[in-house]
Amino acid sequence: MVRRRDFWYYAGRVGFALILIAILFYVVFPFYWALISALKPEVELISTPATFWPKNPTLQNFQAVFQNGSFLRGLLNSTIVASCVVALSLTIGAFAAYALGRIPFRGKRLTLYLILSMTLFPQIAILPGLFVVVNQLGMYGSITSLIFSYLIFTLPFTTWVMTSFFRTLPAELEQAAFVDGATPFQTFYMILLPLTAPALVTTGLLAFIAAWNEYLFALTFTISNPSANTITVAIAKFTGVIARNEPFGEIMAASIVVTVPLIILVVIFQRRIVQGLTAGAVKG
Amino acid sequence: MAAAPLTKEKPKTPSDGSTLTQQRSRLAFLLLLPTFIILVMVAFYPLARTFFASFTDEPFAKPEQVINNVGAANYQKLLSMMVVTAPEGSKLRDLVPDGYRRVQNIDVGSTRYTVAGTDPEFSESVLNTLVFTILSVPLELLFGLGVALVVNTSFPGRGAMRAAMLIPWAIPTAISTVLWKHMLGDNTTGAINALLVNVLHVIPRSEAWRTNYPLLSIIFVDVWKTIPYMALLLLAGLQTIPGDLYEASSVDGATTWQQFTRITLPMLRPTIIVALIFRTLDALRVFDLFQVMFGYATRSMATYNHEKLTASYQFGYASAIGVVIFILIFALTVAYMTSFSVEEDPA
Repeated sequence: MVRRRDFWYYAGRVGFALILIAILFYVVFPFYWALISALKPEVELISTPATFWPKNPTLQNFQAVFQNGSFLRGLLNSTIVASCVVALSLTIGAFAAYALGRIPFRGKRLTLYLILSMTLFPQIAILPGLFVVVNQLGMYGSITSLIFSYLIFTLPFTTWVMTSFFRTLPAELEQAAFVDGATPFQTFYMILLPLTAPALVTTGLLAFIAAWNEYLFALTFTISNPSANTITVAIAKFTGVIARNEPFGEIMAASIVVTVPLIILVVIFQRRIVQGLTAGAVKG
Repeated sequence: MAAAPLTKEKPKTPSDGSTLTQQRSRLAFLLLLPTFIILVMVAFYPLARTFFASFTDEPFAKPEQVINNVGAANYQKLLSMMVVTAPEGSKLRDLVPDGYRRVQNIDVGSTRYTVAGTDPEFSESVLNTLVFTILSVPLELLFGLGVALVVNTSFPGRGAMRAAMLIPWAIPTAISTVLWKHMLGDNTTGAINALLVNVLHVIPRSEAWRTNYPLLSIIFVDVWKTIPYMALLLLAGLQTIPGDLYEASSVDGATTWQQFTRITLPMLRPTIIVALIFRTLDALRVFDLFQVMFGYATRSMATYNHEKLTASYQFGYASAIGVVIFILIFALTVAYMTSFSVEEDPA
């Protein structure tokens, strides 16, 4: 009896390990494939059948990518756009979140619902109208159009997450500050804002990733001006333009270069990201 | 209310109390003002502009051209559809009015029904988007739940596993689609074919997945990208279920399956519903996947909209498509929210 139980116990453990390995393989495989393809020399890339390990690994694809002007330009543009979007939406969002989380006023519930509904706003549906605004503001074909338009998805989200964070702070803090004669605005930026640093990091990170990954607006508003392309557009164009003779190894190298910083961020801030992602989804 | 910096109960005089309320309201208004201005500029004004343009024949990026009011003509063209039975040997153009073209043939028994519309490309893009949504969302939920249950148990390397699971979510969709576009190819860069033909010997020779199974390819990539994300959402839900419930039920002799159906699923319901809403709405506006994988060869509603705007320069017509997408998504959101009566307050 005891022996049988042992057998099933070990069988269960092995089966479980196999399932884990299968999941891991499924999740990581495309990234692995991109990496080995980027390391393969041209000869190996076109040989049949495709191999799952580079025989003569080389860095020439990576070198080519870093000499590619449009790729570097895209990298720079994406960094500028994502950083500005994060700074703007955190600043503006923190103000709004303070009002929504801490100050009693009429129409608060409606405002909250409005901002929540904005997080579900279908961006494609207003693309024509947004194009008009971007054009009228003279932003078409420049990265300012993206810094501006990305606020449609980062601002409601940062406001929402930070509102729920502001609400969790104890009321005594504000009362003490009030007794000491601080104005509500002083209470906000001298007492509450420093306490929200963890929430700022999480929401900022998620906003950065969302802006870095955006494709629709970048494609629509910067297609006319290659020097304003973000990295997602640059890489997608990489493949589209010369359909016949695609520099496959270079595309893979470029994808790796763009993805690695994100993966490092994700690994470092894993717990926070999951918290931020699930903030709205799980009660309690 | 507990957050009020001063207790409200005893204002010294009525006028004092109202000053404080006024002061607070003014501060709240000032703090919210930048957010409102931006949301008006990036969302509400564009929405209104799109709505009004949808009743015109306004062109894209041609300011010198005269804009005519066309009433509901754009919507009529988008949405007019009819079904006819098509006897063998008959020509479709004899059966339908001018302007109608074939969307899809449906064979019921020996009778062939033909669905015809005035904009078959749009009808097809709607169909593609619906098929994509209806197949991918339940698959993602199902597999996501499976993965969440596996990762919820304790094992060495669990943290690393969770970090790895965030990778598909963190890679930009446009870029992971570029990766998959090559991996699904039928030449030397096609890893999937290499895996299926040379390693696993499941199929005899390379298959042109993207050309022959476009929707399947898209769903496959979306499922890959979303399962880990779904699993992480559900995992967070699983961890809020108190462990005593399981302990108490096993004392009472409940099987693992009973625990799953009687404890896990009911307790996870709110999380599942929220995840479903988010994913369905995301799936209905899918753009990156279709655009990068197919350009405009196989379309979703969003890529069709984009094509009409930037490739056909039909601003008014594209606006009408935008409005249709908006209404569809809005109606679905309301339906979801009311039928599940989701509690929306931040915790």
